[in-house]
Amino acid sequence: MYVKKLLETLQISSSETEEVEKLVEKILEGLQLV
Amino acid sequence: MNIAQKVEEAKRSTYNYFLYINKRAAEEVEALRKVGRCGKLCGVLLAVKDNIEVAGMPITNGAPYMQKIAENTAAAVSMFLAEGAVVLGKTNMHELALGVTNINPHFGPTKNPHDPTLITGGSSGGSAGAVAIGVADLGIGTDTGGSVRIPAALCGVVGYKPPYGRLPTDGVIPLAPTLDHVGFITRTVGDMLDILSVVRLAPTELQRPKRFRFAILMGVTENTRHVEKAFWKAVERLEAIGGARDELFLETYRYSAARAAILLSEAAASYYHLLRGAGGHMGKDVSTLLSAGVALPAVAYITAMRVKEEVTDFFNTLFKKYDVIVSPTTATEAVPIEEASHLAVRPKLLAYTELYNLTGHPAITVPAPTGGLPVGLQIAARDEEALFTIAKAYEEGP
Repeated sequence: MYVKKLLETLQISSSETEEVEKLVEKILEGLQLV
Repeated sequence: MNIAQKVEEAKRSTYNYFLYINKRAAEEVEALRKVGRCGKLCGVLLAVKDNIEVAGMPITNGAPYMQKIAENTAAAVSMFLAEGAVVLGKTNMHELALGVTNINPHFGPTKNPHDPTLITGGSSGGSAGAVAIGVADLGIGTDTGGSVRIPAALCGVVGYKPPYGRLPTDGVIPLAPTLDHVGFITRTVGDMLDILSVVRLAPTELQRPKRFRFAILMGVTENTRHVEKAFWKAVERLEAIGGARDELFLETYRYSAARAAILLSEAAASYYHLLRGAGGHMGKDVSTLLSAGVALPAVAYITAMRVKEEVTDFFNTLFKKYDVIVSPTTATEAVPIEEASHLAVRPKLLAYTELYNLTGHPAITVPAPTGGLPVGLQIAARDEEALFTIAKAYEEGP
């Protein structure tokens, strides 16, 4: 939830938000955190 | 070309390497000569990446919304000026140095000197290109994941990242301080040694090696056929100068994720207010990466820093066994500007170089033998002496 709010403050588009989420997920996977 | 001709050539060039050109470069050298203050680097022309300050010149960091006139000169530049070198200009770069293609949405892409429809690579692409076309003698850039070595490799020149912390970074706009390095670009290893040894950044005397051990990094990523062919020719050359080789299989996915977590977290902290205020003006690739840095949890950053320590220890152990570790510098040759934004291109450019931003070891790219587009051979070592000893012998050949 806090991530969504943070990203809202950046006023990025919903398609960019989706890309950001994918990128974050990929990094977390790479670090074996998810 | 004399200095005045090089200035004219830099102005005329359509490769888009310069954001600012010092039209008085020739007069400045003449003035230094007249007062007897032109030192060992008299007339050496510097192409300084536009995230490094030179007093009285504009600085943008590749982003017009950050433009100002610099009040000071970065130590990484002034050490060369003190010996009579002169700044030819400030060079085009990837916006905020946060990318490796050098496709800048505000200033336009820099064009590869071997084929202007292709990328130079980045983020120090303007400095690499300016050296490659012969208007600058020394490119000064920054390297947080390969930003000196990648464009040097794709433009067919030599790019050197000193060990972490070797150079002061004052006057250099930070991106990710844990990974940031200042680095250098020249046309040959010989030129690099000649220039850097004057300012004590490289050894002055090197013994040619009789025998040495090197490891080839394998399994990191898939190389293009062109890269593969040139790389193995470079390996043959290393063997011909006395190298005995081993092959080292390495799974680097976790290391790559660690570098990304550190880079994006620190870059987001550096640029958070800019992202909120000027996010709409940023290129989409940059705002997406910074937003990802904002969204990453602290546990990712802390885990990544632990991985960094682990990989550094691992490579320190490897360097007890091997004099140098080699790989292609990039897994692909230069790609068309039109296709460079494709997501698959980025990891192909970064996969080999980013390792040494994590470990902090010195690394250099030298041209590999190829009849076509340039390919780089990356050589990394425990210290500068080992690195330059092998790189110089490789350049000279058997």
